[in-house]
Amino acid sequence: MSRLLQIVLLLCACTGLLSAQAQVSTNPLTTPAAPPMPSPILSMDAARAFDAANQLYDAGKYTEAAARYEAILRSGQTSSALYFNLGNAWFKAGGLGRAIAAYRRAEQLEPRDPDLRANLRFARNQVQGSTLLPGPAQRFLGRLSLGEWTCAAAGSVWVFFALLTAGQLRPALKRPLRNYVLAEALVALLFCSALGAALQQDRSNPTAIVVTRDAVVRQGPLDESKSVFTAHDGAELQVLDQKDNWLQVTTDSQHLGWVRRDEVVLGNGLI
Amino acid sequence: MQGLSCEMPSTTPAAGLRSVAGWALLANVKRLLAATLLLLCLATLSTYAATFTGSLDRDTITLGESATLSLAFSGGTPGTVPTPPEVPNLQITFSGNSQEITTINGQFSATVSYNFTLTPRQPGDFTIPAITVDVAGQKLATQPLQLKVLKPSPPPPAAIQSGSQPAFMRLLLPKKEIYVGETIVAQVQIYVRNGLPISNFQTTGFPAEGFTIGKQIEGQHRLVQVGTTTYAMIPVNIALQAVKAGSVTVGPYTANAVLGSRDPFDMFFGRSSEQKQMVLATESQPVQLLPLPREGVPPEFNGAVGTYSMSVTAGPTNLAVGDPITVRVQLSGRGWLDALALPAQPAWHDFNTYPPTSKVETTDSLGLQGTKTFEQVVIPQNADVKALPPFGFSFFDPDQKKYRRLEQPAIALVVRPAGAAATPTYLAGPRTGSDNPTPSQDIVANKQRLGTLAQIGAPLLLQPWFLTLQGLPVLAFLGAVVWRKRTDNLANNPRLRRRRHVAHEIREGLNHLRVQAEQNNSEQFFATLVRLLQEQLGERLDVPASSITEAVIDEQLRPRRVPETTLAPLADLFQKCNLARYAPVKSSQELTDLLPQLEAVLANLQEIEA
Repeated sequence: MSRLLQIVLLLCACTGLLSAQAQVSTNPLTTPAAPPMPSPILSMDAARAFDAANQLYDAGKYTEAAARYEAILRSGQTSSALYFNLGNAWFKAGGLGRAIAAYRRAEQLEPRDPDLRANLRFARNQVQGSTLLPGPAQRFLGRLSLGEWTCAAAGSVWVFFALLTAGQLRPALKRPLRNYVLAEALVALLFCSALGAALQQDRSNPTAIVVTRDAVVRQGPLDESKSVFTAHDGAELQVLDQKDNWLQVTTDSQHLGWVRRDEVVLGNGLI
Repeated sequence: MQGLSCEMPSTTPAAGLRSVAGWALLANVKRLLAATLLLLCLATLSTYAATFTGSLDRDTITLGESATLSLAFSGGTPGTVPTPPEVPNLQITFSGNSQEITTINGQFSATVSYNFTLTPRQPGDFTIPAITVDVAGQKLATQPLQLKVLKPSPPPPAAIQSGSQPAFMRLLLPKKEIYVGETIVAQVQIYVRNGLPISNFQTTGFPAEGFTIGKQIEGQHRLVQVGTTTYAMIPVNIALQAVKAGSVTVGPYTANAVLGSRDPFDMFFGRSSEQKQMVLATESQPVQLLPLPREGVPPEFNGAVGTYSMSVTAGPTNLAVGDPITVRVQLSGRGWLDALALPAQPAWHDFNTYPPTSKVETTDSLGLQGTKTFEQVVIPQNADVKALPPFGFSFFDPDQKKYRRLEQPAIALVVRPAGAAATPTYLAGPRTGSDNPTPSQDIVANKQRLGTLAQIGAPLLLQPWFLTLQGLPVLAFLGAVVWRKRTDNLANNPRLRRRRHVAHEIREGLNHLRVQAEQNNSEQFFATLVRLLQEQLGERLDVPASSITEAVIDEQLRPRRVPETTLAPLADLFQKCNLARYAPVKSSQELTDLLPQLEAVLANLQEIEA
């Protein structure tokens, strides 16, 4: 019983930490944007606006199509297909960085869409120079969206407590259920850990994506500072710090510097 | 004539190298002496007229070397550092100043020199115009100076054979006729006289028009005999890929290097130590870059040049329509592996194809030999597909001077109909019969359906309702724990269990009594009444209920000091029950009137200490 209580307390602590971590996200880079202003585009009209944007895309008016897709997003509506098509429009319009940013937002909603993965990979292959590519841990966490990790962790915790409750109501089940309870506790811990890591990645390690042709990364947050390296359109940079209109970014231990805020978009921010 | 001169150390970066303690001490003594002499002669300096001269340490240098321009002032100095005029293609940078105090026949003279480093950017003749400065209101000017900059050239073979050259370089190309797209390895051999240290080797130029220059790798050093002299030979291999046809020249490969050592301990102990900067250059090599033959070009040829072998695998081979197949193509061999791309496969028209990914694993340091692995996802579109059509790859083999084609046989597939129609996937751009776009050339096109819309907002984990919901299983578990504790306590306490059982029996019994009273069932009524009194007394006194009679009042209750207000009604009830045995018939009202008395007695009995 004492061991079970320890596991219960550990899971409760995990849940509490996750909640606290989610609530106290004070990083100005990652604080969720304010709710969008009401827009004339209603949800019923979103499909119609989406079709109109697709027609602009088919007509080769890629910039106008991107603007239409973004108008739907500003109305507060979102879907994976919307970000996917927005990424395509930016890609065709020559905005490689904005395309990658849109694909990444779509990936957060539907991480296992093969079309999306193909386009994101294709766009990343076009990037010149230093860029931050996802590591094995990020690729693993990217297999599920944050919502899916949340549901998986919550579901496993519910099953764990259901097994414990059944053991209390029917003591005869305690012994047969003991191995299941331990296994479920392990599963719940793994899912909670993965959820914590995914949340940490989403909230505390934002990525900046270069959206100008060449963004000079400097030694300090001043225009007069010496250049460290030049990041090209589409390069993904890890954000370490922020000062005024400058972001401290890195791609690896060799490349560290400050880039102007208006030359990048944040991977989890608005496009 | 007797002369004494000392040179004041300049403020150039070279001064920082003099960090040996002894040398520093010596330098301080010299500074002190020079400063003293300078103070002594200051008064006499004003008696001399100021002079200004400009000079070069040498008037002919080789491209890659530097010359020093000295502007010397005697009898007075300008207020600021003089600025030489700008000369096109000649970089002039201030390198520091020095002071020299000279005494000749007891007369002191001081000279201040400002030094500039001249670095030419191209060969040719340079003229440094006259420089005019203002010294104490006096306009002074130098004469124009000439500097000749020679093109780097290799030493003549005779000089090399004689062993007079401390270092030289050679450029070797493996062949003189190269096909466009072909890769070769050029080798620069650096020869340094054996035992002579070489440092600060810097490549200054390697013109190779018509080539893309790849990695440069230093090879194994070895000793070679050239003429009568032994040299240490350092090979540097350079990967080159021809990119356009025509007659071109490769080289000369030029570099700067410092020969000799400058050991501070040698200098401190007065031993000779010499360093010399050298400009090294190789000869140029004419090369003919040939275009690829226009005859016999295979249909899927996409520019690959080299020598390759191929292996193709695909899986799974038993699948449903819409399921992905991963095709892995391995191209191994020698060539510019980074530039290899998968050719379009027109025969794959029954498949949706996705852009392939690739990975290069090289087996040599120059990256020209190894394996490039492509992985491409293809999706069969219908159940009529029976095989993955043959995969073809063509390349031009420069060794055999002809095109070669590799083909992997068709791979049999078992494609089942899908339960639901596969999501259509389009490739962007027009797609017609034989004009299939190369899979890796474009993105997957737009989605036609918006899909499930969601409101932009905080993630699920941040929603208050969701966080509140997560408390439910914990509360349910804690409730179950409390319930289990209470149940276990009851099971382990017989008196408590009996107490609760009796309380339950009394609640039930009172209900039965009300019913029996209404039905005027006197016999059953009194039997139940007696049973309830027995149960309650038995529980309080911890004796079997069946052993309770009216005698318990005197035998056990009075000794326990139970108040008479409890005992009297109890005795009355027992008596009425006894009377009822002999005269059982009572009215319904009479029976109902007994119930308040019974309830009061039972309540009083529950107050008795167990």
